Amino acid sequence: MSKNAIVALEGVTKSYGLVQALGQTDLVLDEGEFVTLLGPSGCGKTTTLRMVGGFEFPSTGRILIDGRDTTYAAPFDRPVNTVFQDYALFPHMTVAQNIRYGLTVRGANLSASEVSSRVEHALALVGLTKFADRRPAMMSGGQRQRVAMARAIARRPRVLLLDEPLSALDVKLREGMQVELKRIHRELGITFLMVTHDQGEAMALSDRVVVMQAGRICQIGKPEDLYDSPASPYVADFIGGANLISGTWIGREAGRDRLALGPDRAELLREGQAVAGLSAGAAVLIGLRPDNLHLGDGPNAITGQVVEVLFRGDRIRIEFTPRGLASPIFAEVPRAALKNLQNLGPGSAVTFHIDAGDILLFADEAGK
Amino acid sequence: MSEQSTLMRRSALPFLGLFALPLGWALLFLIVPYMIMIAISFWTRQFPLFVPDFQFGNYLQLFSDPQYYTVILRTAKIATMVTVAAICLGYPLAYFLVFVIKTERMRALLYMLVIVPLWVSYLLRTYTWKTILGTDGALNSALKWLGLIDQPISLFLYNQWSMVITLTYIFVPFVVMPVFASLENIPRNLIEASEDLGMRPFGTFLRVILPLSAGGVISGATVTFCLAFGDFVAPVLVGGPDGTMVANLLQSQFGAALNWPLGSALATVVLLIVMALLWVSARLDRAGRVALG
Amino acid sequence: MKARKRIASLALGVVAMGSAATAQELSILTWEGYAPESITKPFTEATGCTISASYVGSNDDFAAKLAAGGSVYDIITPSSDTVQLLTLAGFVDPIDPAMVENYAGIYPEFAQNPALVSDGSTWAVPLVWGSVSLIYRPDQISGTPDSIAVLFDPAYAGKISMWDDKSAIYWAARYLGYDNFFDLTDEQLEAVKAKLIEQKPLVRKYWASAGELTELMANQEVYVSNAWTGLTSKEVNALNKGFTVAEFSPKEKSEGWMDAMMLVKGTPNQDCAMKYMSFMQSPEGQCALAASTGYFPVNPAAVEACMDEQTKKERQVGNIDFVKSLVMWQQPVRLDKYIEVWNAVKAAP
Repeated sequence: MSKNAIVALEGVTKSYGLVQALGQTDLVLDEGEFVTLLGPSGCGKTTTLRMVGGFEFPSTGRILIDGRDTTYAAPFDRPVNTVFQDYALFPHMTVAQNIRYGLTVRGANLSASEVSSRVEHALALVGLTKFADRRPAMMSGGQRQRVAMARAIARRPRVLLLDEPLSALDVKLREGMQVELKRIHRELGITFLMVTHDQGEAMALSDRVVVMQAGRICQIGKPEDLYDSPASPYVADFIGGANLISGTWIGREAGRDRLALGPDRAELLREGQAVAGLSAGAAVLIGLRPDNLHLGDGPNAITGQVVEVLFRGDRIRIEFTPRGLASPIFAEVPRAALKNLQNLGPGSAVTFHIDAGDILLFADEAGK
Repeated sequence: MSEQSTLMRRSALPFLGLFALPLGWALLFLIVPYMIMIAISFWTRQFPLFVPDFQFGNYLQLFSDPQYYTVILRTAKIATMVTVAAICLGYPLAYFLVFVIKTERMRALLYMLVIVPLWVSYLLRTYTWKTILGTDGALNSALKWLGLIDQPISLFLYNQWSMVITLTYIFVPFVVMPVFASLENIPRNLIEASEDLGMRPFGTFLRVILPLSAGGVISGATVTFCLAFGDFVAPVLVGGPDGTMVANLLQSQFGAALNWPLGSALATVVLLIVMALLWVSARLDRAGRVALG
Repeated sequence: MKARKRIASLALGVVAMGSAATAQELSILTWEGYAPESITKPFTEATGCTISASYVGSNDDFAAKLAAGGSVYDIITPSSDTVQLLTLAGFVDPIDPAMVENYAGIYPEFAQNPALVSDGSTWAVPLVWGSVSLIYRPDQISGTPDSIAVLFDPAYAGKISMWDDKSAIYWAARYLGYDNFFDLTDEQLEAVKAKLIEQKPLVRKYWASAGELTELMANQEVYVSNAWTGLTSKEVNALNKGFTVAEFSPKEKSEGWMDAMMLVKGTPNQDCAMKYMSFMQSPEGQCALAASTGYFPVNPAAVEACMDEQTKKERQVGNIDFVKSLVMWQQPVRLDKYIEVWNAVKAAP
């Protein structure tokens, strides 16, 4: 464990009967970090969070929290608190009673004045001071979300676990709460471990993101690193989205890869780190992020035929089939870029280009 | 205007058709008999039968002659003991089924085992207790075989305890069913939240599980109390000389004494007691519901 | 007042008149053991009328069942002390004795009993008679009991039983030395009530039917009780439980009773009903009933040929004087008061 590590999973696995929910996993969270477990449902992210919370126990391996082995410790015996997915507020208690609940348990050893000041402080932190005597049933989803936060942080945990905290909110509220979450994290300075399937949320909030798939960690890194240098086509697609096109690696010279896009051999030049283990003629996956495809001619031009144009307010999403490819890919362009191309519609010819530094390249495992 | 009335008639007819049967049934077999009963409670006994009248003598007799209020109080005492005992047994049983049994199939099986006795004749089940608790019964035989006693203990049968035991056995399913339902309805993450907030299992039970299953306890207790209050079989089969309950008194007034007016007055009083209880229970339940939203 | 009375009788009449038994089926409300196959089978063969029997636990049930609209019955067989009440309540029709074969053979003391024949009409035809004495376990009761006192003896606390019936008052009255059993004064009734309440802790269970007493005795729940002479001891001893029970007639006298057949008002099965009454006075009917119950026949002429001499002696045939040794049941002058007192005893803690 590193000096300021607060949570460490060491060789943790989890199986239910014959089904393995989580393969061999090592993960270290540093103090004060905001780390997100990201992946589709069934990827093992929730299982991991529940094991840190003490609601499930690992099949093998151990979990250290604050240097103590808590692998099999009960939830009430860990310096962590959880914000549950659907909040899990006690319906028979008021907001204040919900928050006070965790402060009056055996072992909390808080004076009455300390309890009330903590309740007030927690309420103030989430902006619900006026709602202290409400019942959860009389509150909106966003308000309940805040109560759940307040209840968990009132205990001053070393680590706050958040299980899909924003998934039950509508889009608008969710964006507001993201800002709120970030602010609370900064104010408290404690470690946050969040689970989500929403990559936008993960990117917006986290110091580090742990991308998971099928019970394994695919990649751990800062959001911008994941976006710029995804370790696999899966990460590339999951983080930010990418058109993945089968192509051929022709060769590398002067720090540039020469790639043939599809069977028609439209050529692209890529700048970036070399991909290991490629030989001339190797099958590769070429990742083109829709955002990075710019309208108009230029170096690395790709021409094709428009299939559909989708209006998205400030951005336009264009589905087009590059010449020589069987299936269409997507591009997203600012609305301003389309102003002088009024007549773009299904069937029109269109040309995009992409910067050499924006092309993602992966060895094609399946194509070998 | 005429269009509107046609519309009303059109919607009223099928409405009437749909509810005429149940409403008529309730009127004919519930409301009317109660009315008749209340009317007869003001009649006068006149040997050998009774004549219509309007006087309060029957009610006066009920509240002045100790033989009536003694029995009403005794019945309330026994029904209360049965209710408490049934909850003390039924609640842990329901808790066990919901929280301890892990597999759905096992839970369904055990739940059925709790409920199945309801399909056996009530009389038969009461009678069974007689053969268990009797002087020559299974319990005494077992104790003798174990060498714990050498003379059979007669205290097991023909007293108020044997009535409480028998009625408790019979009514436990009526507690298990609503408590089971209310426990199953508690979201599991509330229990996890409680433990997450530092509460140990017993504290979690007291502060989360118990309050949230109170509705099931209230309805189970209400049903049990009302059924036990009106029981007349247990006193006859396993009760002793001091086991007369209200229903036996009613039976005697409508039977041997042939004093329907007094019997009706007593039945009216019992009806009022039960209705008051149901009212309180509904109030408690509603208060609970409001609290839970 | 007159109108009111009419409404009352109407209310009861509506339920009482639904005599719905089919023409060929005779419905009898009677005591357990009174309709064995040894009676119903030959009766059906002889007359073509079938019998369906329902049973009562005490004499009070007859009026209650008829009042409650259970009058699918054609014939009822209450004891003589209840005949008057049923007559007075208007639940029954008079009987023409000429229609009952062998009527002349019945002991006139029974047939002409003022409870059965009043206002110049015959309301009931005697069926069978017997006594209520005490039954006990000789192996558990010390000495040879000869008094009702054994029912009040704290030495047998928890092993005493009594019939759940107003007749408990007659027993306590005899124990207290009163002789006006059926017309006790208020003071006497108070004393009787106090005595019976005092006895309650000694009583294990009041028995409600002969079958229940048999069970209480057989399962060793009780050692002494009042009981239908003949019936319970016969049944308990037949179970061979490893002990026997015996009967005795206490020095304060046993009770005597006589059951009689009555015709339910407006029965559509009058023909079958009269055939039944005739059959029950025939040698076949009287002997079969005596054999099935252990009680005494009311028609000595009828049993002349079908009963052996030993049995005749046991069943007091021709010995109507035996009645004088008994307290024959009568309807208490203040029936309501007696029932209230008995209910008060049972309700007491």
